[in-house]
Amino acid sequence: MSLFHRDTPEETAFRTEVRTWLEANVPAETLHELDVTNPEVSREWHRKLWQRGWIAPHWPREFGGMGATLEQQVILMEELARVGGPYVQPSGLNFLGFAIMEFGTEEQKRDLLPDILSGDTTWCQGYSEPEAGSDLASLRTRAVEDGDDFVVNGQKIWSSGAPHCDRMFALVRTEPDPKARHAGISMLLIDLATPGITVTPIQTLTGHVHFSIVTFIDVRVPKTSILGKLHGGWKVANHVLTFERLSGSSPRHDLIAIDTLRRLSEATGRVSDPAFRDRMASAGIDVVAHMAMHRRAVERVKAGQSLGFMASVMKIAGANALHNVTDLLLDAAGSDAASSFKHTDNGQELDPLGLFLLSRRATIWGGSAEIQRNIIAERILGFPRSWR
Amino acid sequence: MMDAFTDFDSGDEERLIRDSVRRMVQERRKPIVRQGSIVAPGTHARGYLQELEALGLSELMLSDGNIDISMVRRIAILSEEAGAGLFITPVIESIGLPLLACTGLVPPGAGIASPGMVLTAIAEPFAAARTLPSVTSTSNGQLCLSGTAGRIPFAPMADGFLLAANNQGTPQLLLVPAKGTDFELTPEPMADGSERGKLVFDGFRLSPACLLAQGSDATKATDILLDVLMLSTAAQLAGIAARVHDMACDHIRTRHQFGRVLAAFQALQHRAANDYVAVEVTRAFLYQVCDIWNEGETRRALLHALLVKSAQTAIDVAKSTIQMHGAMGFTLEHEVGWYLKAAIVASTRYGDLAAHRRLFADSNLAYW
Repeated sequence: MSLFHRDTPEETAFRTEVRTWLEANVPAETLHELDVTNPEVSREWHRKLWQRGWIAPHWPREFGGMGATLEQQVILMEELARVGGPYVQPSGLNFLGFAIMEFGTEEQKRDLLPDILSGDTTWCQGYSEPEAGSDLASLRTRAVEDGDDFVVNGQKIWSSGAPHCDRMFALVRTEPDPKARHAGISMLLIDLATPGITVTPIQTLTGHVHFSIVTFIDVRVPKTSILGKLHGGWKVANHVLTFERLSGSSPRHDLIAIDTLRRLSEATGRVSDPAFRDRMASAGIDVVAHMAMHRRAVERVKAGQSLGFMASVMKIAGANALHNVTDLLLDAAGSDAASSFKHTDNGQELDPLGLFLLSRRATIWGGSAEIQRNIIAERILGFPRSWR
Repeated sequence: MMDAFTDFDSGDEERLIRDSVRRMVQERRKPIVRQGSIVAPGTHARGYLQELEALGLSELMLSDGNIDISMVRRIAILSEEAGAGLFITPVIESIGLPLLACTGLVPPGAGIASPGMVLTAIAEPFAAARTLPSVTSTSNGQLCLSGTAGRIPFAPMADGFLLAANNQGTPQLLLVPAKGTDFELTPEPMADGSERGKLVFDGFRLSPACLLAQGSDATKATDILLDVLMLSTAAQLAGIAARVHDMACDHIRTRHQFGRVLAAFQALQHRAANDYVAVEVTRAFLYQVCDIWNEGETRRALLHALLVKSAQTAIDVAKSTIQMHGAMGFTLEHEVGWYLKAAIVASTRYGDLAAHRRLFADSNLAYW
């Protein structure tokens, strides 16, 4: 069982099966680690999960997914959180796949979906640009029709996993002067090996290469690579964003971080300091509350109600809980927090600084915390568009 | 009050309870004003209790005959609305006897001979060092009670107490009338207008029939009472948080400065958004704890966590609401200050927050 749900006998059997398999198959060096981004390890892990049939529990069977119940999806999510393990590039599985199912042509469904599942093709998202971050509708990358192709010019940036991905689904401007800012944008499916594309890696705060600048100079993309209608890209992008809300706000990262906090504070002895325990309790309580909210969200979805804008609430709650824990990680490490000395637990290296730095992204990616607050203010609380 | 994560699985009966209590509170509660100043947000406690009884809510609260998920959800809903309406009255504290009758730990009908309001008196339940009143048996078969039970919420209102005591280390649960020459009650005014009290027994004589449970049964009984009281208090705090957040939103939607409503300023929008997140997390936590009430081994630790979370949220959102009201929020003319006081009182009613955090940290649940 998990903290807020008692499994049925069938769910218990499934959880046991998952747990046993994960313990035997998660690469040892990634156990209890958060999002190991080594591309080779990630691809291998993706393939293993696919071969086991668990890479896409949320995909319908007709498209090769597991067609899992919501509870099975949650169990997989929880058990993966328990062991940690490598990062699996989520963009194809959690975003693009569903957009292809909804807006794709029969050929696109036939040609693209199987490779997303198997991991033979990995996708990244091409939304942000140097001058279009949170204000996505101001994007400038142009795609001009020329015969059977679009000719693409511009730059994309901050795409997670881009340096290691094969393709990108990108929002491009196909109409230069639309009546509305969100009109005149299309979604193109672009092979990153196409001539004219340069991928320049960017190191993240943690030292990993996870982002890049992708530059397009006169890149020819076949017109058959458009997803959805011409100038209809905003609708596709919004559809994409409605998926992965439950898994995106899951307490997975909190749980790995608090497990590390427990082990580190025991290793350093801080756990017996009453003042430190008090702070650990506060952080732990926020994590439990976040777990409760996530479970509540699962119940709401099971009751047939969508999460809607509550996804923004969950995202902020999750990031707050995670930051409370990772702040404490540094204190738990004490004067070793910023040194190259590493504490170990059962032979595993504990990396408080790495987790602390990694967690900075929680309030940035997938729409910054400020954007989420705007959404809550305007869409949930009904406030007027803000004067800034 | 918005119900994103709470009302979706409510049935008609739960909605009826929520609507009835909300309407009653809105219609009945009036601040007590003396010489032009509010001296309390309204402490017509007995009147409220009678009103609840008249609505059939007290009975409905116990209609299942079991302390199960549906009962604790009803308790949470009533308590949440009570908090939202500054309904500062010992509703759940006064149903201890019938609650225990549901468990079979106390004989059905116990206490009926003692008319009036019987409140739960479990002294300083989570204090690190704690002394309970002691009971001894006298030669003529009577019980003799001595010692002190401090900080008993609402004690001056009681006609009798469900009192936690001990007999040479054996836990006891007694039904004690709130009168007698060897009994002294010292009222202590609280910041929200309510009162708690210190009970001092000096050789207080009781009939053996007043011993409701002892040993492990007494421990179980007091644990059940405490669990329900902690849940109810957390729900009141969640209700306070939700209500003050609504107050802030209403205020900034209508107050104009610099030619715009305050709600058009991003600084205030983001403050309100943060408060909304805190309220929704707390309410989701509250109802999720209700829904796993039957998981006995994790319940107490979760209740410690829930109380801390709901108290933090209520106090933080009340502070934020005062800030958003500006000088208006810093007056007794506006109710928000009373909500803040009520939140602080509720947050210390059954153990202080540091004790709850300590007990949560000590539980196996802390790192699950």
